[in-house]
Amino acid sequence: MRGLKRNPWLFGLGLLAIPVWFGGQAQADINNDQAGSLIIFPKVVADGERDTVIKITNKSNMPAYAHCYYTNALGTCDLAGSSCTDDNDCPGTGDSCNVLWQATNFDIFLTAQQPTFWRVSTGRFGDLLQPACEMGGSCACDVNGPSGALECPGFDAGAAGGINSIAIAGTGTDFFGELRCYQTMADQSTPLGQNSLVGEAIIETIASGQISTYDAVHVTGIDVGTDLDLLLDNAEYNACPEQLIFASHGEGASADIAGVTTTFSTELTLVPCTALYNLAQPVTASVNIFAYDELELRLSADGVPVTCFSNNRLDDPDYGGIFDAALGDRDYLKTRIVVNSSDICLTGDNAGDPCDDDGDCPNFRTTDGGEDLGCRPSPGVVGVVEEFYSTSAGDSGHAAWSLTQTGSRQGSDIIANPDLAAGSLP
Amino acid sequence: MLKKARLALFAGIVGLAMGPASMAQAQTSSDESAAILVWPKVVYDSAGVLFGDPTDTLINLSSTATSSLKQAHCFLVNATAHCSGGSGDGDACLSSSSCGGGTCVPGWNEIDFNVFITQEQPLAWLASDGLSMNDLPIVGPGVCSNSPRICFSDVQCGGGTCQIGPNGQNNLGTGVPPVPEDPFIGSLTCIQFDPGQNPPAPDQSATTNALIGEATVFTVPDPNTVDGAKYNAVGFKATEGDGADTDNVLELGTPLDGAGAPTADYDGCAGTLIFNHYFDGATDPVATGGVSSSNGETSTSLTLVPCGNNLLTQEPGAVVAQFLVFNEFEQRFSASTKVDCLFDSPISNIDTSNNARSIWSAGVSGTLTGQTRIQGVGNAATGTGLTGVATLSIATATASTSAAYSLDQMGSVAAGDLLTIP
Amino acid sequence: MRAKRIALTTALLGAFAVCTLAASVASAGVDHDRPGSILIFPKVVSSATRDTTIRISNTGNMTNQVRCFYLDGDTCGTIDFDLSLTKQQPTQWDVSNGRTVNLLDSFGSSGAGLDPGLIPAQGDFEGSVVCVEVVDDVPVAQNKLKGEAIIRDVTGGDDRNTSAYNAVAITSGTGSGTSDNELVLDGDEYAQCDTVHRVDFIPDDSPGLDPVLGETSSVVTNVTVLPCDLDFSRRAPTSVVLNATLWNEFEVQTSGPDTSFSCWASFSIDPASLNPATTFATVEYSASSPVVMVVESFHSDTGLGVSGSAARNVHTGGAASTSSITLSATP
Repeated sequence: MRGLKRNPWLFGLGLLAIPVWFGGQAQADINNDQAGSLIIFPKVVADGERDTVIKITNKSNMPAYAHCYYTNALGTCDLAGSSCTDDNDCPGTGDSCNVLWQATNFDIFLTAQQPTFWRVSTGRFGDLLQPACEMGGSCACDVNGPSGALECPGFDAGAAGGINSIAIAGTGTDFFGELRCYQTMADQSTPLGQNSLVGEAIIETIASGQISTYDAVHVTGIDVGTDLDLLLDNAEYNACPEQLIFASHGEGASADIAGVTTTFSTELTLVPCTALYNLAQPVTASVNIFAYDELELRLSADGVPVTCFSNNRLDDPDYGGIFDAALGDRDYLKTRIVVNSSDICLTGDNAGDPCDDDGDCPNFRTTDGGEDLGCRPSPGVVGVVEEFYSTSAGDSGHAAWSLTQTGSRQGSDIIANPDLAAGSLP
Repeated sequence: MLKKARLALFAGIVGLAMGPASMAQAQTSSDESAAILVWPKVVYDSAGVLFGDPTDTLINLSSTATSSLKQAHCFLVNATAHCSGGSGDGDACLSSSSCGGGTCVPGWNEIDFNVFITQEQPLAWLASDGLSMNDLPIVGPGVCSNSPRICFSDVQCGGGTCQIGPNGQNNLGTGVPPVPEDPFIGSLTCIQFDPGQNPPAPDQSATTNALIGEATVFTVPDPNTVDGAKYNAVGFKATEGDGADTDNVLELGTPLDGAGAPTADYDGCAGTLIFNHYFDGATDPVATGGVSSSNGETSTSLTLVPCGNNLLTQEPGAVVAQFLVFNEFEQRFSASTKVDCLFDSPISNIDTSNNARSIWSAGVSGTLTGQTRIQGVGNAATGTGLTGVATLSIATATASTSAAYSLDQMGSVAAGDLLTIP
Repeated sequence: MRAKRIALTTALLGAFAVCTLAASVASAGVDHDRPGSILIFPKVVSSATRDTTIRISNTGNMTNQVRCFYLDGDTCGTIDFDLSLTKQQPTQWDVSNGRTVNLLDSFGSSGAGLDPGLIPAQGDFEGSVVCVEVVDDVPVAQNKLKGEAIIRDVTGGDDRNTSAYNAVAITSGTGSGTSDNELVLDGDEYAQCDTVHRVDFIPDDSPGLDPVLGETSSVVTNVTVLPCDLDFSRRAPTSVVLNATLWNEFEVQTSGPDTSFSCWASFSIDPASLNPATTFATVEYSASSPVVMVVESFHSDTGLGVSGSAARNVHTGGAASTSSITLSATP
């Protein structure tokens, strides 16, 4: 495109080092376009400026139950008092971001083929008496006065049931994090590999009405056990990918779009595949990020931590400027996110440190299902990308899209759930 | 009480559904690299004649190969319809209503081109511009391998080779034409070829399935506003069982051998496409000023293209799309329409020209959101597979915004599809 | 004309591009005065007042591929980039600007010459740069790299102080090298780091005077230290305790204070334990984990309104225990 002019290839580059790598990779089976038994919405925003609509559909002819977790990664800068998701959001000297990574859970129930939705900040109110929309009239939700939740026509998905009660609780306007739901039996706890769930999210900027949509990450259940430890190991559930790939504009690049000079900024959201809901403890994954430009030149940010939830523009200090478009006309980039392959202590005194065996992780924890949370493969990650457009008048539209996935991780991720019936919450 | 009763009923039968779904999984994907990429919707409309606002599409094509040059042989299908007769004779149109008494006649023709893409390289171009020689990142000059001489081709090296670009990989041979008319609507299909083959043939090397792509449909309603709707291209991977052969008939999915392994060239199209959506006319539950009647109104457009085409004889695939629509009351509706070359329409115009009476209208369906399942049927020689993309738009009295998303897939087309190339 | 000259040069170099391996010259030790396979610039600064120019040269007659890492001393975060140095090629870049690939840079500009690769810019940076010889991303020790760092005042005032030091060069070991991303500094794969680091200095408390400038002068000596155990793949900081042993001009030995740090540290030598204080002293650091070090002295005179700075390498000795540098795996 003419808006993305390249420098002509300069022959001196013929001597540059180019990595040589042959051989195909096994394909990951986690996906964005097929139904799953575990669905992950990596980016859910309800912070007062933006809000999210979650849409989930049961694509099977059987009812579907699911147990869901919101994880709020929005914290507060200790000194500045402003909202943050990591320390880079608190640039003041000595300031840091205090995040609790608080998980809240709820259940949903969908009849055969039922679609449902809710607005994250308000949640949805269960009211079967809410009249269906009619031709010629508007089709809108009402607001339940006391709770502020939406009352919408249709079977609400709240598994709590009942009339005049909260079906799905709202998060309020202080939420930035992820949502994941795993399909269960009727007890809303025991995992079930029925692969019935399809999810999408709409993120909307309230002031402008601009929207982005993305498909949830769907994890296929293969041979799902009945314990509360979901193993993403290509045996119980499909494993997380070894690499994630996306193409984007260089951060700050500009192009002429239909006669309007448009500047591009990209936001990358990553979450670890592993989650320890049983311990209410954040998990840190580590990834190496490689950015290639149109001349095949490669820059990388190494060992980038993904603690519970990572949401950063590409000019974030964590990425060290490798996406900077101003660094030599780098209008367009392709990025590989490679999960660190070494083992780490998932819990215990040396949590987060590399390890060779469980002995390197004293006092590691064990799940209710007996799964050791000691020395395990470094957690995989999944995510979503959102691109923001601005013109001379300021911020304009935005659009999200899914990451391309490749390879399967060696070893497994785990989603450890508390046994609510046994009262094993930490 | 009703709800509880409903819960109890289904709780009683849920035990029957504990096993994994038995239906074979779809093979195409929008989140993995592949050997064939399909961008179902490519539009350009500089004056907003068809789409209301100036519109253009940014095509992204990247190679995930880490060690070799790849060639994408691409087919740009022009599905722009034109008025025949009437006061708008010859004008591009979406329906006959804009033809001033004439008829809106669907069009279909294709042009093809090559893109040579080096290892790990990202490329991008606007549909309105294409990629000319001057836009290519790596085109030379190079250096002769046998002497300190600048060169553009081996001929200049007296027996040596002219090395242009890292490891001798460059974009020479690439030429992407701009879309052939304005306004334009169509689709793009790129097939990974092996640039080392003579004559050119689909890539059978170990590094096939190396292409990824996205498209961003930009809408520019005014000089201060740029809105983008971005989606991933749909990918068909070369099958591991048989692999792409070198003839010009590309088998997409099935048949299977005795052991159930695929013998087709590429993975097949989904048997069923599924997407969640607002029903058209629903009020956006998130909007300025909270939930009120002034909230934006939603509409969703659906773009479908047949997986099979005969590009040799210029015969587009023709598939009848059957739709099953479920609302939040578990009520089911159905409809069907013909997908001839390319189908692009608001969902509430699939079954009727009167949006308000459509089964995809919120006023008819009764709820804000729904699920639509799409299955292709018919007897076209090119097969019955479909693929596509959905675009959600929310319009208020003063502004409009849109976002695209991929269709979910389930199962495989039983008989497979055929993509015949020149 | 310019393009032609560059082209000829490039073409000549290109003829050698296919030959990437040279015979290694085994040379155990961590040096500042001979080429190595791992170059470490312990102190690299880019701020509103100071900038650093990194210079690296290939001393071999074959193309040398290099993978370099910026290590942020504050966050322990790392980013990396690739260089390709033609035979005997020197190259340089300012940390604040990085370097782009553009052979059309005019003569005399900072980017003139054969660009070795794309080098990201770093602003508001304090940390280190580590460069490793590789072939197609696989570490291959050839002992052909040498480097210097020049730290400059960029405020534009009258005092444009400049400090320079040689990069620490770690040579190949006596063994057959490595083919993985963990570079073991054990004397076999690569030379070990040193056990002791000795620095002569003018104590800055009493009297703390520059012997040349006089009564209104002061001298501050700054030590920058980087662990030899580096894990670039995980941003895993290494914790180190530095034990200081000091001697004054009366041969009186004292110790402390010890310094604990994680990842990277830059601090002024604390002469508090010197007893009695003298105008000149020496300190020897031993570390709980192998380290490399560089020193920078700042001399100033408030009466004269002048200042100056100078960096230098430290005197070292002994072979430390095994340490390792883990590179991030490439795709």
